Amino acid sequence: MIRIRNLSKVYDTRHGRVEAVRGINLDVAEHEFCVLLGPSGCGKTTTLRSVAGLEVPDDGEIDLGGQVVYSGPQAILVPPEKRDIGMVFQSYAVWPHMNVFQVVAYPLTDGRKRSPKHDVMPRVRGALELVQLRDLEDRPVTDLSGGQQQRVALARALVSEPRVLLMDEPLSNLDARLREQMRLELKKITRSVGVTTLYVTHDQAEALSLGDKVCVMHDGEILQVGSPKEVYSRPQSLFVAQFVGEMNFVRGRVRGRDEVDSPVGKVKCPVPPNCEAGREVTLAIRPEHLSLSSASGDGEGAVGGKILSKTYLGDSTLFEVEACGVALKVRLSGDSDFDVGEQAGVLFPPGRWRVYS
Amino acid sequence: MHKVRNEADPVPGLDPWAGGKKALCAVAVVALTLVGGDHALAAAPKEVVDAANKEGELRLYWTSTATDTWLKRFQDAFNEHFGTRITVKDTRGADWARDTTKVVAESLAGQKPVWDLMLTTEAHHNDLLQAGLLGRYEWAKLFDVPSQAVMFNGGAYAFAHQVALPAYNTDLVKGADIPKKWEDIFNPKFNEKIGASTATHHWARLSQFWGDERTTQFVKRLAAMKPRLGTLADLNQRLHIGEILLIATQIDNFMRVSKIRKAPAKWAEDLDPVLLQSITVGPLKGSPNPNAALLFAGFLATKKGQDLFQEFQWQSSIFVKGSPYWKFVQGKDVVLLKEDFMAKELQRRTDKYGAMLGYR
Amino acid sequence: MSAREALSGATLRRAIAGAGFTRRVTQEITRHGFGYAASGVVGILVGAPAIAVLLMSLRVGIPGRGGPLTFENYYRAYTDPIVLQVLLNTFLFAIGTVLVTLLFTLPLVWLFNRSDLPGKRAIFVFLIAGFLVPVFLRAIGWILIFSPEVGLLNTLARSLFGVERPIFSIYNLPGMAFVQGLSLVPASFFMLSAAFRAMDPALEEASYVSGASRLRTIRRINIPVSWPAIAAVMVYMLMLAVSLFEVPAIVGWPARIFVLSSLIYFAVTPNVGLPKYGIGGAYGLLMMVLGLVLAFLYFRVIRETKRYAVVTGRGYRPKMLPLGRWRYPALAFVAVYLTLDFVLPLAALLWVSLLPHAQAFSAAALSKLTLVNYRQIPELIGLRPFVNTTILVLLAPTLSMILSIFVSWVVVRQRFRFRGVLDGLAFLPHAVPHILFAVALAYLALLFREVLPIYGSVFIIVLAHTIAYLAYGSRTMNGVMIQIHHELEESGRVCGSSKLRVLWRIVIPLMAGAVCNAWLWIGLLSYREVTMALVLRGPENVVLSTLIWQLWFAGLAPEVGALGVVLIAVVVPIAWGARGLFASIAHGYSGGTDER
Repeated sequence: MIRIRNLSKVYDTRHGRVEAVRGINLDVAEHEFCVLLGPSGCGKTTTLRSVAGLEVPDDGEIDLGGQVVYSGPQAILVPPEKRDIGMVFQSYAVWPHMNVFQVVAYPLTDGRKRSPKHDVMPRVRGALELVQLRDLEDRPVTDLSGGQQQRVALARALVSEPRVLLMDEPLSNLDARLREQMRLELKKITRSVGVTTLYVTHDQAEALSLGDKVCVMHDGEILQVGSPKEVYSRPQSLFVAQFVGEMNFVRGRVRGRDEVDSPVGKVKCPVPPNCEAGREVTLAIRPEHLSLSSASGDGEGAVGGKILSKTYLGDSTLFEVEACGVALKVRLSGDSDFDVGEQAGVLFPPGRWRVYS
Repeated sequence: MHKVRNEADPVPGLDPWAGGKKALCAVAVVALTLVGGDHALAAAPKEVVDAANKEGELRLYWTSTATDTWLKRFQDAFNEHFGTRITVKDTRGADWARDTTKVVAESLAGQKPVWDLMLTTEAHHNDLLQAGLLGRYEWAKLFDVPSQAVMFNGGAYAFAHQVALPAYNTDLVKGADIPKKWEDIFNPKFNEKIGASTATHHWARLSQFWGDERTTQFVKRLAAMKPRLGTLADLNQRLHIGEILLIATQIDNFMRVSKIRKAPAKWAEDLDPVLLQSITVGPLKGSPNPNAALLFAGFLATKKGQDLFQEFQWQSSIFVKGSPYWKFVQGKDVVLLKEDFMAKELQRRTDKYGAMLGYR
Repeated sequence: MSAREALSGATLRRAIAGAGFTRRVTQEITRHGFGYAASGVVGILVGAPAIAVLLMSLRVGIPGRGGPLTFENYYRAYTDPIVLQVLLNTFLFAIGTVLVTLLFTLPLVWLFNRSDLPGKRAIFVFLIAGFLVPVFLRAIGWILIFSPEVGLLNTLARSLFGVERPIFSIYNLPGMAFVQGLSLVPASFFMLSAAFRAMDPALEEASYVSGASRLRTIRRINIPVSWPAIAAVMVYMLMLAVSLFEVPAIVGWPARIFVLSSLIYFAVTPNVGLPKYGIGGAYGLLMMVLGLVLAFLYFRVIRETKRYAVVTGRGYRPKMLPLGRWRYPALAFVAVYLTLDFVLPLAALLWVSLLPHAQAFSAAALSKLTLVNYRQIPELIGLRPFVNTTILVLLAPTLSMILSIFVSWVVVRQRFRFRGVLDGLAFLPHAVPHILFAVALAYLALLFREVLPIYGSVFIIVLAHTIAYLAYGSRTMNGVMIQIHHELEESGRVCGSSKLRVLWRIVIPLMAGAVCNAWLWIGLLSYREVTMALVLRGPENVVLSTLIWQLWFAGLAPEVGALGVVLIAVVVPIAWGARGLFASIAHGYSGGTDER
């Protein structure tokens, strides 16, 4: 549905040239929800805006539903109004001089898919129904709360039933509770409409919960594409490991093909093929994969440590434990009896360690 | 009506209402009777010169066409004539009415006049007179000013005159179309192509000669021609360009510019009467340099001063025998404002004729 | 209790009650200190001359001469049978002017600020240069080109098609509105640019991705969203069209079409006799009333300022939209405008400056080309006008902008009870005929010369321009400030900065581009302004504009043309440089938080 090839974009800023996007490739299948995840400045927004046509890339090719909307080599550039897309902006971008109905009706009254008058009303109402704003259609948009404005923006993006929906950090201006609620709703709505979605965010929780496919970007490049589960459980690079979810990092030295020496002992794990023995590597393991035991001594797959802090989170408890001179985060589900200052053993389950050179 | 004849008695016919009476300038009579008046600065030129020298400075208001070079020439000639060392600082004014008002308003606020001497017209000096800003001087005795030129009880005198007559575009108006008398400007050829300027006082001046009735009829006919209205400067450009064929009255200042630049513009010189405006000068009462002002005003009456002003503005006094304008008006009637007309009628009639042309 | 104690008790109670009132007043004043300070300053600067004008209209004679108050001026002014026609003319002329102005300005502003139109810098400079040609010099251009008798267009038509009757004339109301409207385009361009540039580009982008075309987006989104700024410009230009005198004199008079401003001008600029300031004031009062009504309407438009706060906290970087194949029609449009407003007047100016006297375009005239007018220039002007003009164009816009920003900030940002009054006051100088305003100011400066010895110096012109352009500055700043989200300011406040510091560190930098533009523009207006400068002129404070004016009225059109060409040649490189400087200042702030 969305096919991006060798997309690149360079900005000339006052501080010199900045390569915002460095030749990325991406495919999003029909009905798929793809999230571009990365820190600010990674090029994800530029990519999204290039798909929308709001940014003109320097090179590459973009294909939307079989139509080439941008091609550097062939010098094709379809302007945004000719692309079959809907878009939700971070700043809502609802027009202050209109009421809710007018804003949502805009794509039908002034947009690419102009509809006959009698058709506009039910479709706008349908879109407002979808975002649960049916009662507010006569209100000036500026009277609405942030969350409601965001729904208006979503309704506007969907009312023309575009084949591609683009969202640029749509939830970042909402408060945490509303964000979570909207996240659920977004998922439900896009699923029910079946629109192909490209979604930009820097929030990994959002990315993991929303996406069918998560695409982690850094410094203008795509580092990893995969299902949320893949990206979370098998980050392919140190950056991804670091950026998606929480992670404990421990320095180590390769000892053999599946063995690494570390402050917390010898670790059994598959070593990347390019890492010969003696090389410095970084070992990574997620806090929820570690556990604590009351036996404080070292043992098989366990080292003795001291609990430095304890954070109760309701559904889980996060401990910081010092073991063998390394601070480790340990997440245990529910409450737990361990207290700060106690000695405890940290258990390393086999097969959870990952190694990055 | 009396013609100015080229003979020993140069007093022109200034009193059209008096019909066939021997013309004698009433102004002159008044001025003569004032000699030795109690407010007169009864000083011999020598004393004036010394006092002026002490003041050392003169603040002069004069025409906007002046330049630094002209200022220096006047200053040098003036100092040379009297053996003084007086610095002349000038303001080149374009809007004499407003600047006159400014002086009056300033004096009402207790401010001394910013200028010692203003080279403007009799109408403007009349306003200064009404505001009590003119003194009394024995111009004839002090500087040998022709007695007919002295005005306002000695408050000021006319050192030169300005002529106003219809002017036409010489490329577009030829032969029989050139006006020979005032009524000729009603030639249908000039319909919508005649300019009537904001200087509507010209018609009021004419009415002193013709009377209100005849002038009213005249202006009515002029208005019926749908004249192009505008300032004298604006109309002058249009005349040069050829957008209008004729300006109902144009003053010599602009004719001079036209002549220097060889623009296709000329006065209809055969017309009678000739409209005259007196260029007057008189020290402002309460100004910081009264003696320098008086002395400079006097300088303008000297041969040197007259010649210099002629060279500068191409304007001279009809009262000075042999001067260009003295020659120009020989054999013609001239209209020179009388003081009582100025005080009583000028404003009202200017407004009236102006309104008839559309000016409000 | 002794009588004395009782007495003191009552006094005490009164004192307490009094103190309660005083405390409320004190509280109000301290809470809205800036509001009252701004109102006080503007009230004195604007109110005093305005009241003086009012008094002028109630007295016969000249300012300063006492006498009983009378309605005679009003009687004489409004019983004239011509008045109804004049009011109708004025109304049609003003509306027509604003329409013409907007017709050219809106597309230009959009193209300039929101699209990738090529050659922006050149256009910017042309706009300024065209503006610098004094209106009465442009008049020669209009005569040479549009005159029914000798104009180039009609002469061509006659020789090409054998048309007898002139096909095109500017000597009618539409012609006046066209010429005046055209001449106001640069000013309104600068006023609107600020608002267009400050708009959140996402509002526009949301329309594109909805599938709306560029033109439709402009019509449905850009214009409505910028409505407060457009309304401000319309109100301002409407008032300007009512008060400006040059076009009614140069195009209206020849056609015998009279408007309010030509009545006022004639009343206060007689060739003989004293100016009738009273009559002028009586007509002027009508303008003031109109101005206040417009100011009130305008204030209602911007009352719901929150609705239009469209610059959000997100780092915004206005995107220039690619025009694509629309580039050529757009350039053609700009070319038409520049031809009318810059090329033709400048060509006419050059033509006139190279000839011994003004004349129509012809081959014969070519043989007379001369440089004599250029050689005359040093003779005609000394050094002083340049010094004075420099002081004027540096000081007047600076003071005016400081005041404007402060007033706008109070009006738009502070919940000040009398902000409507303050805004009206700031607009008032625009509604008072400038001639009368200057007369009143001159008189006041004369009265208070002991306190403020500026009478007759260039500083009184500076003061007059500062006050007069307060209307322009505050309107421009209102338009921009409305669009800056209040949270940007509030976040500064919660960081512990005082209101003034937030204004200085956050609000002004955010508006830097607009402030620079407005400053530059007021500088240009001040440079060109002649009406007030002429009234306030004394021996010491001649500026270039008054010098040009008086040379022109002495009939020295070719010399003035030459001077005009030289001045443009001087100003254009400066404007070119200033544009670069201002662009980098503006960029430094708005480009600082780029989000890729």
